[in-house]
Amino acid sequence: MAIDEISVAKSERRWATAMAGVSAVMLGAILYATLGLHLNPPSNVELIDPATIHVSGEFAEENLGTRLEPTGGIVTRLVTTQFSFSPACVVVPQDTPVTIRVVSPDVIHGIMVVGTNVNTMVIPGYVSRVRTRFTEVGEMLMPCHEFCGLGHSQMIAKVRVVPVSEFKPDADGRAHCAAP
Amino acid sequence: MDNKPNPPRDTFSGKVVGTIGASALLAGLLAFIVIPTVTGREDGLDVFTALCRAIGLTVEAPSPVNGHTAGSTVALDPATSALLAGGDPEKGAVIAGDVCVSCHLTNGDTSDPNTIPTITGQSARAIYKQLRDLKTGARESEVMKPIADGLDEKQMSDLAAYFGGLSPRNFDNPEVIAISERTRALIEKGDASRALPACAACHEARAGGPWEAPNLTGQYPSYIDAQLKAYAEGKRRNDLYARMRIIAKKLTPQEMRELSAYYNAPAYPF
Amino acid sequence: MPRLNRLILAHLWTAFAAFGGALILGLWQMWVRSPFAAPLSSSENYFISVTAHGSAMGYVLTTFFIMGFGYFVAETALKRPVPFPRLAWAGFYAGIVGVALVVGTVVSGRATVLFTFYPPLTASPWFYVGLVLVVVSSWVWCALMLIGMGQWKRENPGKSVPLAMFATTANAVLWLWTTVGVAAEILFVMLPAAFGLTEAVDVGLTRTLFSWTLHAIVYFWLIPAYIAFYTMAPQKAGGRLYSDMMARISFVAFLIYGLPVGLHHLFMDPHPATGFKAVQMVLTVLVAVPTLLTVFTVCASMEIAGRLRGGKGLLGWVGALPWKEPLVLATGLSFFMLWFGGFGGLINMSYGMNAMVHNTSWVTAHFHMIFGGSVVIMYFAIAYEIWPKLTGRAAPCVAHQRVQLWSWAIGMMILSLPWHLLGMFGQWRRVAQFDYSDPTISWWAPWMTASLIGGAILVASGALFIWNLARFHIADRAQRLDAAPMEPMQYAVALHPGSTPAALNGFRLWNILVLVLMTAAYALPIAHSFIVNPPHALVHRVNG
Repeated sequence: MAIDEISVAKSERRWATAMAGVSAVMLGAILYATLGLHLNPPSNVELIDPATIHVSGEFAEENLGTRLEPTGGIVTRLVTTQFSFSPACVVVPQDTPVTIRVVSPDVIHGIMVVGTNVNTMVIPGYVSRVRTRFTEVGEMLMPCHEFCGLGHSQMIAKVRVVPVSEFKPDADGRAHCAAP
Repeated sequence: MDNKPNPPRDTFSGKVVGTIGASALLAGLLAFIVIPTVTGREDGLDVFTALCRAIGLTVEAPSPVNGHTAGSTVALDPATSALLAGGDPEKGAVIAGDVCVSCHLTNGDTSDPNTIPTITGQSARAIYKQLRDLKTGARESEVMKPIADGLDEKQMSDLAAYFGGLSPRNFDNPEVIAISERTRALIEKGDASRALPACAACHEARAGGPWEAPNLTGQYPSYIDAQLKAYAEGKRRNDLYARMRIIAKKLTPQEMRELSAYYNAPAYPF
Repeated sequence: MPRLNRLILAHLWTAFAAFGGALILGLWQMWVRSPFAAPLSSSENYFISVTAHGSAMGYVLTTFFIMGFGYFVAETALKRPVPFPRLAWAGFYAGIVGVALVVGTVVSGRATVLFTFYPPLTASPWFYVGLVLVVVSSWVWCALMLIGMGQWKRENPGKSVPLAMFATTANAVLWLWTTVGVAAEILFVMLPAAFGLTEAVDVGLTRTLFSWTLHAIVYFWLIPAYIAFYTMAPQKAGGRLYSDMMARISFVAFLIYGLPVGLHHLFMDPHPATGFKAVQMVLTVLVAVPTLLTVFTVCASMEIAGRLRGGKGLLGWVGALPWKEPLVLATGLSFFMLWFGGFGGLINMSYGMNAMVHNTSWVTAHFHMIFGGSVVIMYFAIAYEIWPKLTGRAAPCVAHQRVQLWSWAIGMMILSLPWHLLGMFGQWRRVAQFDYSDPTISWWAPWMTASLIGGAILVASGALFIWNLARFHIADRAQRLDAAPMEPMQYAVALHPGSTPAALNGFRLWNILVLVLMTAAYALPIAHSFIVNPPHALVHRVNG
């Protein structure tokens, strides 16, 4: 054979070095996305008792939907449940920071807004929080993306993004989807 | 550098342990120091809090936002499960004989299918939840409110155990209504274009849907139809998270009639 | 013929029977999701089908194939009998009982929880008992692999364990570590919940425990393919293994880095703290290393073969390879799909960037491409390679085997490339129905149709595969090779068989390293659940 042992070892070392370089580039890209572009997984680790979220507190029915908070921020609160979102449609202003807070009272769900990076699992026992900014006006689909039971396929809500001028919260700061 | 192709054992093991140790250290440094320090700033956290958060030592403070519900206040928790598990059907039968029999008959069927549901063989959870909601006023009924007011938690669970344990309705003369293919699809498959889950995903035995969902098999069409209308008009609002209000608003009157008729038959695969 | 050929065939046929059934379900599922009306379509039937498809492909095909192939390697590579054959049979029957329980509960609609069975959705207890029996069956196999290798080492002091067996045992060790997570989940959480002993579960904790298993299980499935790359394909091509040591390092690297990375499946979960996720993200980058090493070593080994066969120039050796050999062809096709699958995985593991694809069809596409494509095509090739040894008959028609391998690769590309595309644009997972009248969705229809066609090609290819194997058994007696005894199984020899470092001839050092890394990666995330004690969720039983 033309290749002796030392050449084999050398070629492997060269390859290993190159692959270490490839790994470093991959890691570098991920770190850049995290530290530079602020693309971070949702990990706020905030607890909530799934048994009673409908009774009182932040996710009682009257608080669901989008609200201009007294502090000025815009928060969209959602409950994902078998097999619907409550509310089934939320309205948000364009190009404005929005915090989505979502909980599940029953089983695991997941939400995404199609065409955006809004994506999180919803685990009973925890509040999932996603910060985002919707750049384009229009209506987007927000389906459940984790199997939650036989009605999972039809568990779809809508996000309506409106120009800031058309985002008109009421005196309480709440904004609802107008009837389509 | 060692150029031998097969280095001696100790060198090899040492190198391996060193490499892996270095990779683990790098992972730890990035994950527990660098990333939380930088991203913590974005969240407005000081360095110490950010570091504690990254190792899961502290959790975010719960939201101070308050709210209340005019709807159901039944907690879906192990305590409620335990209460129902402790329901005594014999005691339930005694209470039923005293207060339920005039409308729901001794066998849990109904004296007037237009306004009164059959509750024989109904899910105990559904019976309990409705009694509780009638008592708190989350579900409005002039007839049932005073009756539910007279029941305590234990008695409700006894009644649930009694009616839940009875055999299902006797189908001597089911009223048969033709059901369109479209409505049948709505029952078995749902309709993604209207975000309507299949009725069967919740309302049949072993569906695995919401904990408190009633089993509709054998329910009278006129009663189901009336409830769907009440949900659609917002007159009934003790469904958790507006689930049924959202669904019922999307149904046409024709669909409501056909869906209701579907359940008036004993023929189910399981 | 190996002494245990009946045992091996029993395992492999169980695996392929499950595969055949699951394949048809897969096609039906694609039909339901397509713009065309499918028969028998209902929500319940769809999710029963998805549960059965995932469980059959992920748990039955893989586990039984790996066990059967492992027994084959243990006997042919070590050239000595497998220890305790009766125990091996007992394990097999335990596994069969387990499969029967899983199939029974799933088909009757009492376990419609998908193969990932995330609580609080809770199936019939017998579903979990069935899974436990399959795992116990595989533990018996792991023990026999370890004992077999240990006995060989005592009989052959100072010699290095043949690579095929070293890798098989590495897989057994990996699997023992891997199953700890899911075993803990089933025994301590799911079974008590399913039997009604507990009414609430810590959902986050079960997700963490399942993630312990969820990633390494993929390497358990994949290692047989890598064994074929290193020890069978170069032999078939007429070459040598470029480097025995590099191969061992790759298998050991899978063992070490395949495990402490499972939390990357939970990047989008709210419960693990950021640090836990980030640690495993960094380690996930490193698990790409063994595959990158494999690509080099296997290509170099094949290059040796190509040049020995007269291939010249920079790439002339590629054309000189015996592509008519199913095993060589499958290796080429597998590598081709590995590029796509690997790229898909790269996006998945990218921490925050995972938000773009999490729980979209991209993920489904990724694991169909890399498992259903790269790995399963090697299962086929391995079966074609060893079936003559198991039945004592020559392959009835090698051309049909090639057609089958080509059609599988093509079908898998047509099936999963549209999923990649749609997933990138946000098509979500695990649903039976899309509203093709919605403007966001309408342009998906042709791509879903393409996938459906891919699925049909896969079913045809799978049927041809079963037929290709069945023909060995129904072949005319005259085709038996009694006259010229079947050559014993040959594994590729290293170019420079030298001494192996002792560390790479056993698993002591690697087990210690795994223990250290797993402690570092998982001790805190698991402890976290007990420290913060999150509210539990009510058990949600789907069986009544």
